[in-house]
Amino acid sequence: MIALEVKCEKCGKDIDVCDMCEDPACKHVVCHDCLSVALDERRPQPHEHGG
Amino acid sequence: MAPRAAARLETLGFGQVHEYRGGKLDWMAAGLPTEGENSLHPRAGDAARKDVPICSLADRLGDVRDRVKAAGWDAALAVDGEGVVLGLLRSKELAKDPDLRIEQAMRPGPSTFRPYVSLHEMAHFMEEHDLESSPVTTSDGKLVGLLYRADAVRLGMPPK
Repeated sequence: MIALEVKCEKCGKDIDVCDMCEDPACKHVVCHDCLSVALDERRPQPHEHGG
Repeated sequence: MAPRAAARLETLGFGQVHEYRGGKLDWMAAGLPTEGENSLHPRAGDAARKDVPICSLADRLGDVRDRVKAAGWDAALAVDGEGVVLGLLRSKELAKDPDLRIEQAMRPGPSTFRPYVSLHEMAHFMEEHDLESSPVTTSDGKLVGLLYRADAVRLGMPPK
């Protein structure tokens, strides 16, 4: 089982490690979703079904 | 949008119109050329160093470390036969027991970034997270190169 030990600084989601640096002691934890949106790797969908 | 754009192109007289199902981001993720104002901004793929040393899972760490150091690098990437990134070796991993296999020494499944990501954004995140380097890959995981923070900051941040 994966231990979800930190929270994303942007959305508050529980994750196991920061997606940017994977450092367990990261002070600016960011989840994969928030990071990929911030880097414009992916566009946020307005609805779960894609709008 | 793509089917409508294709239909519009056909009405404009283009005869050979295809829908690219992967979409524009996938095109950019493959490092293919783009046009327009946005294409003028530097991207991660432009600054990623393409000659980063690579190795395979079965290689001996000591051999890889010697090769990496001789080439003047402090990092290497483990890839499969197709060039898909499987792991990352920074200084910390390269300093482990030389008799380990790469598979035992590497950081498996490292965070990777697409070539079209803005260097400005990457520089910001790399500084905030004190990250020296990050692998850049296509959307199907194939290695493009290794992006160093120093390069991202130099090319992506305006001089202070």
